[in-house]
Amino acid sequence: MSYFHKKNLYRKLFLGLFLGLILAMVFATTLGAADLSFRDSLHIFAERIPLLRRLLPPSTVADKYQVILWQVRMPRILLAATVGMGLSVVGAALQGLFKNPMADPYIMGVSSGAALGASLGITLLGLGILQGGFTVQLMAFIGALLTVYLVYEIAKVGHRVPITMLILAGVAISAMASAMISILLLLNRDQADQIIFWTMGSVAAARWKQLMWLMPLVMGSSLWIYSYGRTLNLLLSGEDAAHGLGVDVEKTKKQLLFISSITVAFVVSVSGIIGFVGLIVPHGVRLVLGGDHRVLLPFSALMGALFMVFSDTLARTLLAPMEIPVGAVTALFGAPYFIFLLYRAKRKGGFI
Amino acid sequence: MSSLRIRNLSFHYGDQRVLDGFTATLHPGKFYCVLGPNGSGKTTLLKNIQKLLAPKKEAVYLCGKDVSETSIKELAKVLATVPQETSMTFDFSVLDYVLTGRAPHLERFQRESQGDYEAAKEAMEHTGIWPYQQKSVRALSGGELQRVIIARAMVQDPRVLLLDEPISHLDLYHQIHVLELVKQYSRKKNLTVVAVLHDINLASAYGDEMLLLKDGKVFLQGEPHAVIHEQSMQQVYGMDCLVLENPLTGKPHIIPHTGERRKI
Repeated sequence: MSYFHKKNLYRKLFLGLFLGLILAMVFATTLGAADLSFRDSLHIFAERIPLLRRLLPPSTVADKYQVILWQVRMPRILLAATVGMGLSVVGAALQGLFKNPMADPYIMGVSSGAALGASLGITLLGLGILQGGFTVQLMAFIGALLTVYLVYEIAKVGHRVPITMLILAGVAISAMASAMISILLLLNRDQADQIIFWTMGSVAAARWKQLMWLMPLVMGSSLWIYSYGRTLNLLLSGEDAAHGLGVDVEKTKKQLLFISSITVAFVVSVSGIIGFVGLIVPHGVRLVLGGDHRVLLPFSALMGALFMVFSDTLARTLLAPMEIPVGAVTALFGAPYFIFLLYRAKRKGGFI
Repeated sequence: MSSLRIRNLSFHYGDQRVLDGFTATLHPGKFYCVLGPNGSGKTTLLKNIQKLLAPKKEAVYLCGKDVSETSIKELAKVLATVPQETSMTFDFSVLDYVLTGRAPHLERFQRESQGDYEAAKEAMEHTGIWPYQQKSVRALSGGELQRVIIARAMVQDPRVLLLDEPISHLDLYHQIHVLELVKQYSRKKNLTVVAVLHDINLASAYGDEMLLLKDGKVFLQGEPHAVIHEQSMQQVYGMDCLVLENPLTGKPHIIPHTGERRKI
């Protein structure tokens, strides 16, 4: 069926899944060491909504649970959802832009650049040269953006940015950054644990203060990327064909690369490197709903959020009280799924 | 008013001069065939008109506007292109694919309207692909796909249609079918068609005017009889041929001299 005839169906499905995501998030708040019922959870949230509060009977939930729920679990779940959404939308857009199924949010070296920045930050903190709570985050952000800028400058040919050059330059710079991280690890064994843990990614340190800027930022950039839906569709039939249909190809590339890099740099600086989400979520959505970016982008956003909430809940409950890094959980679930996709592709003889 | 005017257009790739003072004026409602040997500048010419290469200032005018100063989106409202071959990497339905032709006329968040749908339906019925509207574009044969591309170009509602060797990959039936479709459509909409064709006989049969290119400029322009003759073929292609009159169309028909001759 064509998109033209299914628009309303997609709208309903989107709303349905959105409600599902909200319920899943509320449900996730009930899981953990402190036992809460779904009802208690809902009650605590309802009380936060000004008008609804007056209609409700007074809460019977102990105050400490309110704190756990509101100050610990909720920000964490929201951060997981935000990170999943940002990575998946960017992944979907870059797979379309690069016309490469292996493209993910980190293809231009954002992850290794951020990791190098974070490692440097952790090392310098350890040596007492730098101080402050935001150092690692800031260094990761700067590292991510510097790397992308470097990759972009290397790949540029005049006013054009050939995709192949971007991918190759990304690989080279990533390798260099990884090598530097290894050297840093060797030289600073005291901080090695911390560096390794950072590179595996986590949303455990979520705070409302962070969410206040990260959430609107990721939502805004996702919406911005969504506005490129039709343009990305046109680019799929080739750059020259897209040009013929009124797309300024080079300008579009630059804009999309810019907004993607900024988004991922922010996400990574908060959560560390969480792999596979931005790669497999778009592929999953594409398999079920097709490759039209006007469908792919919004549903990737939802499913990315859902997948991350799911993964992070497993990460903190599976081996409780020990925590598995969420990056390890996404890869643990993501890798087999990805291998399944590869097998499927081999059988069918095509990929996307 | 001319729909496409090219004035003293030159273009270099590095040191290599590909177009050298190309000048031509094309009018609405006419079917132009661009002929010429490989390397005579046909593709470079099309790319300059499309602005895929940057044309000089005041060299290419499309519907009265200087192409070098027109935005890519504005250009797409008056100019559509049918390439030689289109690769389909994604599973779009034929209808959605044809509807992408409306893109230059839509704003960023604007959705295709019922009017756009009607335009797509008309073009698809005209090209005979309406029955496949829900089929995936990847499931089509070469001939069907080229008709889909032409329907998309029609939906774009251009004033000038460029065809870059649109039939070189098609069988004989589809070659004729595609050219017929384009010709009918151009008559109906008073559209200028500029087609690069390698088959001189098909060009002669369908084109109102020929543009014969040599070394980056127009060697001859005019009706088929005025352009396709033994002398010009010898001068441009360096080839001896016999030029007859096609008994069905009355247009020139060439037969190249080949090594083998029958014994009389």
